[in-house]
Amino acid sequence: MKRLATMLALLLATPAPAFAAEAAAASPKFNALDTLWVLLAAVLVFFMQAGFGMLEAGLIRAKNAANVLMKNVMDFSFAALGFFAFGYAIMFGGDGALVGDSGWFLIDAKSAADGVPVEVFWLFQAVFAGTAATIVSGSVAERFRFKSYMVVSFIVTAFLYPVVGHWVWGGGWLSAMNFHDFAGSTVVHAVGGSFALVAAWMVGPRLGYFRKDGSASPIPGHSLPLATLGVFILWVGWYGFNAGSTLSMSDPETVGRVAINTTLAPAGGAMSAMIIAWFRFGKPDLTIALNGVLGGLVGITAPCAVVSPVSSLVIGIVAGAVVVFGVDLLNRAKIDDPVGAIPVHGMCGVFGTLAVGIWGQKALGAPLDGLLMGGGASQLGVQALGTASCVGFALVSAFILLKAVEMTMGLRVEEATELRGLDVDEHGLEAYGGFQIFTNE
Amino acid sequence: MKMVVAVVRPEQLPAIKDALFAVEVRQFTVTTALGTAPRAEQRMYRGIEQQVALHQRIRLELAVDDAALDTVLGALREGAQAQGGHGKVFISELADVMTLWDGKRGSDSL
Repeated sequence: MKRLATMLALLLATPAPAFAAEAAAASPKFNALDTLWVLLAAVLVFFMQAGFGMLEAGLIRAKNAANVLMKNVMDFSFAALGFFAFGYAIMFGGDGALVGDSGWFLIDAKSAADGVPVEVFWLFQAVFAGTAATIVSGSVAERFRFKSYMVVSFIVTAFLYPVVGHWVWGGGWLSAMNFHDFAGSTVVHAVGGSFALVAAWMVGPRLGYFRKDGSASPIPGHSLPLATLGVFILWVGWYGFNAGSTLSMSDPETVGRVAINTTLAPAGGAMSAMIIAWFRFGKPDLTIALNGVLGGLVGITAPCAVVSPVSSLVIGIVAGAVVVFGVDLLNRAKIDDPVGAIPVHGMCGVFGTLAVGIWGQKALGAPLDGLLMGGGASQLGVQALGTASCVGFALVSAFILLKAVEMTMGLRVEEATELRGLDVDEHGLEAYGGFQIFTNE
Repeated sequence: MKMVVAVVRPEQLPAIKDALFAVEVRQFTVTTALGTAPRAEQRMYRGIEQQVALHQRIRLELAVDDAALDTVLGALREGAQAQGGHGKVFISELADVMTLWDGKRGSDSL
């Protein structure tokens, strides 16, 4: 028995050094562990597409579920194509202050992560672009014309998102100012949320969402189990999103801190959103708690590497409150956002970016100590300028793009199509064929 | 008393419901149903032609007093017009009604 164990140990031990030596000889410039980490993280972030799909489908009516899933499938596919052809070059193609301009179709493109091949780094960035794009589909669900959505989605991921990405991560003017957005509270979420805001405002509310007196009347989602599954999938994927943004395993302590912060903030967000909703609306609402989880995740995305676990809990708790008040604010503003994408991604994205300037610690890697960490308001100022510029760019470019699409293709489906459901009229199928479902109430 | 059964399309339901509420008719039953149409609808499912002979319908049932019948039928028509005015209404004599709560019968129960 002992001999067997020794043999096994020998068998397991011998090939490893030989393999490592071979790999090192073949490509000394790449770090296998860092590459593995980024690739694994990219796959986790990709899984978030499934999360968004389930969340959005669950929070809307059954008659439009296949339509929103179709938008999820296609906006990621278009993001992959657009980010391959143009997006990566704009985002990482050189040190221009405003945009990059080399590496179209990844030809002669360079990786921005040391030791990680460009193919792997591209994949990690492409799934981020897909995340920014898919935020929009939820906020315009149940009434946005499919064809028009495809055009908007492609242009966003191929041309608009990469501009902001270049400013912050690609060597553009904001990275030169020490603006800190670790994993994309602003770049992905506030920007995606801004596109979502403009789109939801321009396409108008769903029929029947606002009563004649202007108050909102609820249109309940058709499957809360699906929505909950979606949120858990997103939470899992977020470990790739945040912890993977280290782009390296060389500092396990930072990776670990990001992971624990990515757990505490959403937990705090769920808790505060639930409690506030309980007090204000009388019952603990599952959909609000789900939005609270996501608000906490978005809020911790920018500061996840540079704040302590206690700070991340506080950030999550505040983000949960931002979500509840944000949902209310949108209803007052007569903007219909069926899944809460605008409070979750837009508002918590801005808040999370500012949080770097409030709770960030220089000892943990922040450019400066934050306001509550004794460093004064200068980092907060940089964070405010950065997020305002990115959100401003997103709002204005989204308005121009959507206006152009509105005038040429139209944004909204016909009223009869909306009443019948987009699944049957736009795609000729039903999400739940064979089930008897109330399409209107 | 009359038993009124309306079979309409799902997209007509919101306007019909509002029209009935507008004339203070608030007691009716709604069920999903499937119904035939003069022509089968052609749909494509994964590239294969599909003949959909049974369509989603809404079945609305109301018991009304004779005096209120015209108001109800007017409201049904008005509501249906908002989405093309399709559908049929079947009206039949209703022998009796009883409210389970207090045992009231006939018109008193409506």
